[in-house]
Amino acid sequence: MLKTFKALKALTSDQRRILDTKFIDGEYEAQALVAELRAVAEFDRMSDGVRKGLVIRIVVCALVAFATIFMVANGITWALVLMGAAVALAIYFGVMLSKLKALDLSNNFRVVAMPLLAILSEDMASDARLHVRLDLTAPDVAAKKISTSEPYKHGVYYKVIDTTYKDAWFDGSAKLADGSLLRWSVVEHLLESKRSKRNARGKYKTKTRQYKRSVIEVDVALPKDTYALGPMQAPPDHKLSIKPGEKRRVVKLDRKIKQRTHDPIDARELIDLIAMAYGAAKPATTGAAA
Amino acid sequence: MSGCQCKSGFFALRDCQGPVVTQCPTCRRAICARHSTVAAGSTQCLDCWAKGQKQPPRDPGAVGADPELDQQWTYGYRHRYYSSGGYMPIYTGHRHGTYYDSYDTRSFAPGVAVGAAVGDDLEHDDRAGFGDS
Repeated sequence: MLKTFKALKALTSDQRRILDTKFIDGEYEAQALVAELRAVAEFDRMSDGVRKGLVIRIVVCALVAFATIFMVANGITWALVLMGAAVALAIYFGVMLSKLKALDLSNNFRVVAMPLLAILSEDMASDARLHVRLDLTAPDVAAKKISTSEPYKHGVYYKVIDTTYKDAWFDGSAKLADGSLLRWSVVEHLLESKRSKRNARGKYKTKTRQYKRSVIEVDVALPKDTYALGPMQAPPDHKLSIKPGEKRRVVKLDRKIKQRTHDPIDARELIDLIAMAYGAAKPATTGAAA
Repeated sequence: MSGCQCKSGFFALRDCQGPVVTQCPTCRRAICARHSTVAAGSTQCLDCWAKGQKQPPRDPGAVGADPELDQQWTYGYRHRYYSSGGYMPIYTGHRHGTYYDSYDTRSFAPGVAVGAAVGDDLEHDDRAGFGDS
């Protein structure tokens, strides 16, 4: 835990601002941005691990405090000291937990954005800038809520409440070292369905189901003087269009991914879309760039 | 031949041309500081280092995983992506060699001049001229 707070203290003011605002929007040198975000990602990773440990410690302290009640009731007076220590520790851990929770970033950052940015920085000239907009707040914060349904009945469930969220958390554009232009965006629609039922023994139970639909859009504008374009066929769950331009051909690829969890998508889904556009590119030869 | 012989890039490979600082003991290629890494006490090129990795690093999002999304991670990921993903990188440089042949690199033929842009009058992209800047 101390290591995590040391890592927090070691962050620069810009890195700390990212943690506080949970928002990045601007033009950056790719390599410098990745270098800056690396420390933020590392803190976020450490914080995630520590928070889990803190929850366990709080539960243990609460159990100890509860046990000491019986000890005191049975005349074991020194248990009062133990109770006080357990309560004090639980409060301390609770404060630490809330501090770290306030700085928590969406896991999309480490799982999707960071790998993509690291790869893009490799494909860009060292002084080239990219535009990035990253919303790192949790996907299910109130600001992203679109609607909450009225309670309704469905099958064995006597009450179902659906809440939907829209999380347009990642988009950007960059000019790559080969002259290609890249633009991408990730928009996610989340559904949280709280379902309550009464089981055979008469007990009421509520469970929450999560669904997510991620819409990934990638445009790769390949310069005609460098690349010709071979035949392209999009896989069944992809949408492909090619727009001819004066200097570049724009390959547009869209993909929808459905999953039964709010966990981040695999960064590879985004990388694969860009690779698919490049997969159809072939070297242009003199006079044959049409 | 002067300059680093490693190729930069992920989707499209290009010549590095960084100043040479040493030679990779594995592939004997001249490498720059950016494309070199120290592993097991000796300096290697990042490509050979990546090829030598038996186990891929854990998911970058996993708690407790190796934290650095650095050059090593990028080149390790590049090697695994090319090897397992069925993606054949396209090489846009002019210093041809055989090192990247194992990835089925698509290459501009040596000696063929590229750069002859052929304009056309076809419709522009509907997203505010993206692709024509």
